[in-house]
Amino acid sequence: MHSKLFERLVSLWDKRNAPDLSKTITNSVLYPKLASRLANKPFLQLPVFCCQAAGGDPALAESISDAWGILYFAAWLLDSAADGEIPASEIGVSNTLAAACISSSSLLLTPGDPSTIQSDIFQAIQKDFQNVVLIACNGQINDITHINSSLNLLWQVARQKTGEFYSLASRSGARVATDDHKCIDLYSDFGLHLGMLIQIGDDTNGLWTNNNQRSDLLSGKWTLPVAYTMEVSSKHERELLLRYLKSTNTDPLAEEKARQIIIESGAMLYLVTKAQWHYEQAKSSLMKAAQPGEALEGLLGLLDLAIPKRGL
Amino acid sequence: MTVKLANVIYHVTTDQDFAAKFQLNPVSAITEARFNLEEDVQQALINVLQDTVRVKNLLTSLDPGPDGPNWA
Repeated sequence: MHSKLFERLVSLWDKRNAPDLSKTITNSVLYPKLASRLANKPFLQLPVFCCQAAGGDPALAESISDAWGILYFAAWLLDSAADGEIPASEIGVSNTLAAACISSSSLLLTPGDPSTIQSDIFQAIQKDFQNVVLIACNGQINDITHINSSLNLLWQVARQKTGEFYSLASRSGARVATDDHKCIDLYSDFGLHLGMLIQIGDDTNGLWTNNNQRSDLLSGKWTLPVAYTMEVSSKHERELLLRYLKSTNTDPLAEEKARQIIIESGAMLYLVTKAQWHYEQAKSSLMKAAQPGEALEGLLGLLDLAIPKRGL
Repeated sequence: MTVKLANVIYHVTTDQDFAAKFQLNPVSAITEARFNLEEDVQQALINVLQDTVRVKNLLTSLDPGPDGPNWA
């Protein structure tokens, strides 16, 4: 795990007399998975790109990118534990690291150069971070506690867990560049739609097993394609799908049969249409807000990366 | 728009009459069907449906697509 973000996190923990946290990470059997999560993800540039596209010095948003990246990592740890993807023996370590990361995120959120930026802007951003963490926790609780959620509820959870999270990154980056609230709101909208695109991509990919990661159908996750099919299909198809979903661990053909019902109901067509809508909304907000240049190109590149390519 | 669009997509997917009209002219089939969707949602739907090869893939392909895992 050699990313700059990890180095800054370790440095922070060392300074705060908590060096055992980094040792615990490197000694954990989760290490390879954790390493790939923290290694140079293009979306971690979101606050910096938004700051620059809003006319600011990108260096002003670097600590925001770090803080948001650490929060993203904590959210991933908690989500993986809730989804049963962390071995039982590592749950204690994983949850402790998530708590440490949430705390570290707040500590990282400071102006790099106090002379160039007002500290009250960073205080407002810190409050915004704390508020969005609560919204995401609310989404996580909804996700965990509601069995067989409706399509509407799943979209709400997607917004709380992912959309709001990316919206935070975008508006925080813009906030250190400008005090124009209309402009900040446009970046906020851009991030929200980008986050929704990412959630749609995760849920559509999750229908299949990829790179040794079990499909959502095998893992028993109730995701957007499943909720869509349950929303629109006949009673007979719904019952059939539920029966297959319940027997994926005992019947080797059940996963494939469940997937077939989901696809033939139009779930992928629905999600790609929703993705297309979010893409257009995101692009429209961005084109109204951003100044032409390298950062705008970078943000458009992130949008293109996020839009599902399925079926093409 | 969530459930309304879901029902429209299910109709587009399963209704044979619509499929026949759609094959002749995708845009007019959607416009004539009067799905009562918001304008921007309908436009997104048209943008997707116009790529008939993709639509067919989305409704029939059981294989993993080009999107990899953890791309976010």
